[in-house]
Amino acid sequence: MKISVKINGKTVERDVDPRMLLVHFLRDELGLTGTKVGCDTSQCGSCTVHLNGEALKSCTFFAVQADGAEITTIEGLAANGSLHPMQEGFWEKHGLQCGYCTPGMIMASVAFLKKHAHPTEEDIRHGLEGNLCRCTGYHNIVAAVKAASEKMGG
Amino acid sequence: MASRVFGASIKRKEDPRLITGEAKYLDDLQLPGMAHAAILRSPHAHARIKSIDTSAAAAVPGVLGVFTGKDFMDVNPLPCAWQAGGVENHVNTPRVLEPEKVTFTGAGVAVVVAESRYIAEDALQLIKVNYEVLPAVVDAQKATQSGAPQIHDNAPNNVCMEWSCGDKAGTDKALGEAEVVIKERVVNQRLIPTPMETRGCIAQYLPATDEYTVWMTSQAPHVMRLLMTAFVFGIPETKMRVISPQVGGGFGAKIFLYPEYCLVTALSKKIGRPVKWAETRSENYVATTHGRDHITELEVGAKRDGTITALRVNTYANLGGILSTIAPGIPTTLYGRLLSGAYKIPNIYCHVWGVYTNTGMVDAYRGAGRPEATFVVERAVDMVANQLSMDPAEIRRKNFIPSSAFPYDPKILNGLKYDSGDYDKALGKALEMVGYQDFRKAQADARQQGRYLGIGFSSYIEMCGVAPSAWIGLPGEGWGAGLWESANVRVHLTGKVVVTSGSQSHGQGHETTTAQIVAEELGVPVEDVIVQHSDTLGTPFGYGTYGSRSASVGQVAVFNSLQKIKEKAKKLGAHLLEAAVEDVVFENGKVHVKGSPDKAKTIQELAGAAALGYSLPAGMEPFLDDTAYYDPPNCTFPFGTHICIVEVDAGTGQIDIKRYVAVDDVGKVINPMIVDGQVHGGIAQGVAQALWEGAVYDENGQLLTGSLMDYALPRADLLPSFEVGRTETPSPTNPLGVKGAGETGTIAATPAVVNAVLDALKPLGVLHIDMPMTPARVWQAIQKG
Amino acid sequence: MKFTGVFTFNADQQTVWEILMDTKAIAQALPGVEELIPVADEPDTWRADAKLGIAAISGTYSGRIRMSEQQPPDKYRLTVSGEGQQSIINGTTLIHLRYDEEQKKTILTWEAEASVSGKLASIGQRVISPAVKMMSGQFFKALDKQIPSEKRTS
Repeated sequence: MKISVKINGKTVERDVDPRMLLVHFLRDELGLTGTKVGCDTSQCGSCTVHLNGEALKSCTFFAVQADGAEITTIEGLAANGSLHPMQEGFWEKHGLQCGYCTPGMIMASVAFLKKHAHPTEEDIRHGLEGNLCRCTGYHNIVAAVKAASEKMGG
Repeated sequence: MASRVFGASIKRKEDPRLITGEAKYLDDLQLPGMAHAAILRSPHAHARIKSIDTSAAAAVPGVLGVFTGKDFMDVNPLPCAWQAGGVENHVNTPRVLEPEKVTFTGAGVAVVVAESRYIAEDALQLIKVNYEVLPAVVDAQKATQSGAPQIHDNAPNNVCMEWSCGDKAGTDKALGEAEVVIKERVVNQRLIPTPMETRGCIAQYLPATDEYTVWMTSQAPHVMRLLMTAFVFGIPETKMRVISPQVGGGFGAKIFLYPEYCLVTALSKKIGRPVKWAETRSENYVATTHGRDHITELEVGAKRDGTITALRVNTYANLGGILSTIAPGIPTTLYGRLLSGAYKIPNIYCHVWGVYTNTGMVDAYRGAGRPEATFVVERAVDMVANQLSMDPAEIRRKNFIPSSAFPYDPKILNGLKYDSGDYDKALGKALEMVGYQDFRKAQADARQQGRYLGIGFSSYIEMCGVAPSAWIGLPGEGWGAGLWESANVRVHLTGKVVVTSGSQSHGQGHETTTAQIVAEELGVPVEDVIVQHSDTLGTPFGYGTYGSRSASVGQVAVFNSLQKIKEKAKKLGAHLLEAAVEDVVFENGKVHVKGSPDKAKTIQELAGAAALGYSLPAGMEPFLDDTAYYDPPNCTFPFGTHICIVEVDAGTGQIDIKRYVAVDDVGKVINPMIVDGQVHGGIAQGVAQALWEGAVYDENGQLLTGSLMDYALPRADLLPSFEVGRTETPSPTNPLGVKGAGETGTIAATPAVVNAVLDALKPLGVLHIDMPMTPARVWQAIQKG
Repeated sequence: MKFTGVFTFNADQQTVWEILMDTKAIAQALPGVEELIPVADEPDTWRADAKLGIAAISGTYSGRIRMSEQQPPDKYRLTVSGEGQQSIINGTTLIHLRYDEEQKKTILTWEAEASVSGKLASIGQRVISPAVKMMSGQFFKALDKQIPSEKRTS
């Protein structure tokens, strides 16, 4: 099936197999491998991207469902060569170790802050419960999101 | 230097590529012409393969080949590299695909190679395997009993090994004479490591030179190459290059040589195209190693004043259906030899049964043996305290090895000694941070109101920096190799420094901490240091990253190379300054005559001069380039005290962690931010074992916790923020004074949480709850209590 | 694993028994099955392919069904074995019929024991119980629908 999707600001048209998952479309067809696959049951959140501004686990979505949508991946987050405040927060607060959950975690955190500009620690922990990290114990991820919220005027 | 780089919390050099999605992990790599493999796995835990029909799968358009174990009989079984405890006559290791018999659910029996992953998976469903299903056994203790299904002909009663350490007669006698003896059966349940990146492999065969390039998710690429070439394929190691790309966590599970890596390598030659296999999470849960899984009968003896006099331990260690690479070493050397913990225990005897069962392979998982030992010791100490109505902090202090006693020989370490420690200081700091006396008051008040608060301690030690080769190698501890590390340092003409190292980084931040050591020693900016690792081409041999050994072994090799570089720079500097070598010093990145810092040659100038080579002292080779091999004289022994405070809802059994305080002493700290991060992550895994995680097999050997739906990995909302403190007792073992920080949290946390829950439930008479302490188990224990 | 269930037919016991013995009706009622093919030399045994979706593991399963211990019109046993999707399912069900004179209804009770292996055990275990309940409900409901209206008791 033919689909047209705006990805990180650029419109892309492709013919895709109806059963192709969005995450595989991004990774295998477009080479946007920043988005990761960490499980096969939609628990881990490593594949989180933004679909029309909302966080979405791209392993639960077919590429054809994204026809006409706007998608942002981790590769599209930094604008004009400068890091997004959330990326800076993760770097400054050591919110990542192996880095595998990080793209999904950052995308989920950015979407979370859109709805919770002034989050408490508890808000952040609940807001990110759909994204798993095995390295950090979440301590510094929470600190990173808090730092980003302050930087973004929260 | 005015501001030291060593010891500073600088931001990680590796992060920019990770936070932008630019880093390439294994499954992110695409090679031209690459084919994709999918593996058919046994649905039975114990079965004979009678026949396999691959014809329908082979006929699917896009399928390039379908193979079974019979197609790889020329490839050797994988080696068992740590033959501890008389295991050698009972070794059973995986083949690339099992040709005759499967001994656990998830063992590979056939493979499809196809143009795409989707086609390979589709074709896989069309393979028909005719199995003769055999009875299965999953419990290690039951497996040794008469009448249990027999898994391997060379392992009667499913016993792979029987190992012991300590003084049996002395311990029996001391227990007989002890004023108090407490017995308990403790289960250290099976865990699934679950790095967020699963495993994977890409292999490319180059026919013109008969060489392989293999990309794999490995914590030890040099060892992988050695094992694959020397043992599995019987080819010279020069015929293979192994690359670990960006690796997304390992926690031990990516140390080992797995059948899939060898399979994909063999397929790349058979198919004549690069082949990729990327593990799915459901495959990862059955086919990647698990950790822990001990059943332990412990007996601890003490005097009425709380002095511990003896510890006897009998452990059934479940090794799974077949041996992983270093499986026998984990419940022996890394477990039994640590059972003295932080205490003077004059009599210890440990006996271990290593047992085959029809379950997935068990090998090192973060802490590897040391969490199991710490759990036994820290529970035993609490049991004695409870029996004698002693304060848990007090009994620890009473039995601690005093700081004056180092180096300390616990007599079960086969000659090694604890290098340094001040256990009382760490405990004191943790008590202060937690506000112990205030807590006990709050606890008493809460009990008046029918609320159950509890505090739990874990005063652990561990052994890092494995290990002196002469101690761990054959015939000492049975490890079939040395455990040194190496590093090369080159200072280029421009003054930029390139370090190549045999260590491997999969989240620990070596690129940053190694750069800090270089910056500190050579006086160059951290940004001017590039650290290359994880590719056997261009890096010196190393045994890899595990056992918290990369600082205390790998980075010591870097430090030693730097000393050689500095020596040479001094000689060159003296020559250029027209001074005698003994009259110059290397300080703050410059060589100058003692007392005249103004007249100096910078390291950049010296590197340039060394590289240009036209003005060198007689006999000096050009370039600042040196390599060091470091074999440690001892292991290092980090320690500390973790304290957990919980509230238990006696009505529901729900446990709420109120606070978690950790004081760790990992020796000198290179980067406090990174060490704290390691501690946080370790605590999360240790807490998770106490409260949530556990791999469950049914009696037929089916894994019931086979996905993240059922295996309870901790989420952000389940954990608190941690209060982390530190004491710093340098290790005398190495010139950096470092000990190792990768596993302390995991080792310490589990008993701290369990002890806290049992402290909370003390008024209700609850003395023991098995892990994970789920609300159902806690509630049941309260009803029984 | 053990399961039990009850289903009420609006027909007399003989009618229900007949429909339960009618392989065409069974084939139509079995979820995902098109046809039951008798196995040569094995009485009361059929094989069938079924397209099923059980949690994350959907696809084609092939299986055998055997009827035994028939005591018309009260009782019989169904033994099912199937495999597919790297999984193996074995089960046996004892089915009892009882006619409730007062309500003019036939009450069917079933008791089953099943074991599953492979992917289905590790991923699908938690949904097997509800899936069995749902599919057995669908099965009996579909059989019930095939009872001609003139034979219905209400």
